[in-house]
Amino acid sequence: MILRAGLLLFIFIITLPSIVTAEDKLSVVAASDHIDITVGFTGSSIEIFGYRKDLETDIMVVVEGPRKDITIWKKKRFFGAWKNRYSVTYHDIPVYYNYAVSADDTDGKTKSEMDALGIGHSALLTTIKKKYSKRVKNKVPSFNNALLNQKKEEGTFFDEPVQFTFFNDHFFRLSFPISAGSSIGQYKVLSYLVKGGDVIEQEESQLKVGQVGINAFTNSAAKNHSLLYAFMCISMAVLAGWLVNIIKVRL
Amino acid sequence: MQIYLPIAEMSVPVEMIFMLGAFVGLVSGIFGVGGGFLTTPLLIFMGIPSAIAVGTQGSQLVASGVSGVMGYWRRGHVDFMIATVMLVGGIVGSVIGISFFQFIRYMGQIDFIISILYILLLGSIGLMMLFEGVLTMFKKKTMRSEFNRLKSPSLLSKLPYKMRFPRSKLYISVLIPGGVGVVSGFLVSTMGVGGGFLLVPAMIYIIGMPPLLVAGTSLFQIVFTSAFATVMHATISHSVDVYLAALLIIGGVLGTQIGVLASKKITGEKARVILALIVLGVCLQISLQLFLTPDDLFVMVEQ
Repeated sequence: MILRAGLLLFIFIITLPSIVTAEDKLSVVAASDHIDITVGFTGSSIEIFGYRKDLETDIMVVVEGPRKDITIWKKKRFFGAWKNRYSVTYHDIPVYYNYAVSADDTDGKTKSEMDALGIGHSALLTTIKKKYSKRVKNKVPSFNNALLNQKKEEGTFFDEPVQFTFFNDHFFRLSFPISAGSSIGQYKVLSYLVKGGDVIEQEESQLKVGQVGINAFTNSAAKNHSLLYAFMCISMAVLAGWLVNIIKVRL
Repeated sequence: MQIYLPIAEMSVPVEMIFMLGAFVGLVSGIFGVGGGFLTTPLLIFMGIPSAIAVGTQGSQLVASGVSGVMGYWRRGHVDFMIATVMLVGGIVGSVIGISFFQFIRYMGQIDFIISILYILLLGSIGLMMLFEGVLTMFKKKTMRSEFNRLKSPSLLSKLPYKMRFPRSKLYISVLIPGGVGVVSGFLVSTMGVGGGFLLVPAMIYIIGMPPLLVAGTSLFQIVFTSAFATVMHATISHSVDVYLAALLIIGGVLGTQIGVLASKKITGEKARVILALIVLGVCLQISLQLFLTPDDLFVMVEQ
C-alpha cells in the first residue's frame, strides 16, 4: 500500500508540471483514467492529485458514478408476510457518490456553499427527480434516509467526506474508495475552486470503472451475444452432467 | 478467496459457493433428486440477487438432468414421445414463467412471490414425503402399490386431441402431458427448480405412465426445458452468471460422488424422511424470513 502510494506520488510529481501552467488556479488529475475489475477484485480506490495556486481558496471535489434509477421499497405486512408496499423511485441518481471539502466548516459557511453547488447527500437528493407511490408524499425523508443507509451499507455512499492530504500549501492528494459492490461505468470527477462563496474555477474529468480480461469478455458476451453466451453455459452444463454420469457408472 | 461475478457484478467467497454446490450434489447423489429446490433459496440466503439465482440455476439443472438421464437412456427407460409433448408444454410454460418473472421483477415483488411459491411447493411436498416416509417405516405394506392402481380421472379422459403413446401403452389427450410440461416449464423459469418431485407423481397419477419410464422421461424433459429457460433468462433478463454456474456445477460433481457412495448405506424409507426434513427445513427458513419482522423495513432495487 505504501509502495503503491509512493509510486503514485512519483508519477504525480513527474507529470504535474506538464499539466499545471502558470495560469492555472486549480488543477485536479486522477492517477489513472480507469479502475480495472479483475476476477479477484475486492475493491480499489480512485487516487486524485491536485494543485491550487491561491491559498485563500477552498477546494471541493466530487466523484460521481454512472446515473441510474433506484427504487426504495418499504415493506408492510400482508396476511402476516412482509411485502414491498410503498416506494420512492429516484431518477438518474449517481450509483456512487463521494466528496471532499478542504475548508473547515466552523461557521457553517461551507455548508451553504455546498448546498448552492448541490454537493453533499442532502443537496444531491433535493436535485434528484422522484416518483412516489400513494400515501408516501409526506414520508419521503424516511425513504431518503433509507436510501442513504442502504448505499452506505453497500459501500457506494459514505458517512464522512474524504480527507485532503496536503503535501505542502498547494499540492494535495485524495483517495476515494471503490468497493467490490460498486457499479461499472463512467465515473465523473468534478472539482470546484471557491473563494468568498463564489466558484472561480471548475473542472470536470472522467474515468472508467470496468471489468477487464476474461471478466470483460464474459460480461460483453452476456450482453451483446446473449444467445451464444446461453449456448456456452448449456454446453458447459451438458459436459459436466456427462462427466458426473461417468463418475456414477464407475462408482 | 473472493471471486468477482461478471454478471451479478459482486464479489463472493469461492469456498462458500463451492460448498453450496457440493452440499446440493451430496443431497442429489444420496436421494436422486436434482436439488434445485435447495440451490436457489441457499444462493438467495447468501446475498445473491433472486434474479441471478433463478436465472443461473437453469444451467445447473441441465447438468444434473444430463447426468441422471444418461443411465435411464442406456436402459431404454425414456418415453421420447411423451417427453417431446411435455417439452412443447415446457417451452410454453417457460415463456409464461419468464413473462411472469419479468412482471414481478418490474413490480418489485420478486422476493415476495418467489418466497411464497417456495413455501407452498416445499411445504406441501415436504409434508407429503414426510407423511409417506414415516408411514412406510411403521407399516410393512407400502402406499405406492395402492396408488399405482389409480387410473386417470374420468374428466381427463374426456379431453380432446387423443394420441397413442406406444412405449407407455397409453391413449390419452396430448393436453395431459402437455399440461404437466407447462407446470414444469413454469417452475424452472420462475423458481429455478426442475420440479422432479412434482413431475414424477403427476406423471404416474395424472398421465398414468408406467413408473419404470417416469424418472427417465421426466429428466429428459427437464434437461431441455431448463436449457430453454437458460436461453430465455440469458437473452431477456441477462441474469445467467456463468462463473456462478461453473462453481456450483464443479461443487456438485464432487458432492454427487460422495452422495452416490453414501446412498448405498441409507435405506429408501430413511432417505425419504431425511429428504423430507431437509425440504421442510428450507421451507421453514424461507417462512421465517418472510413472516418475522425484518431488521430493515426498506429494500433498495437498482434498475
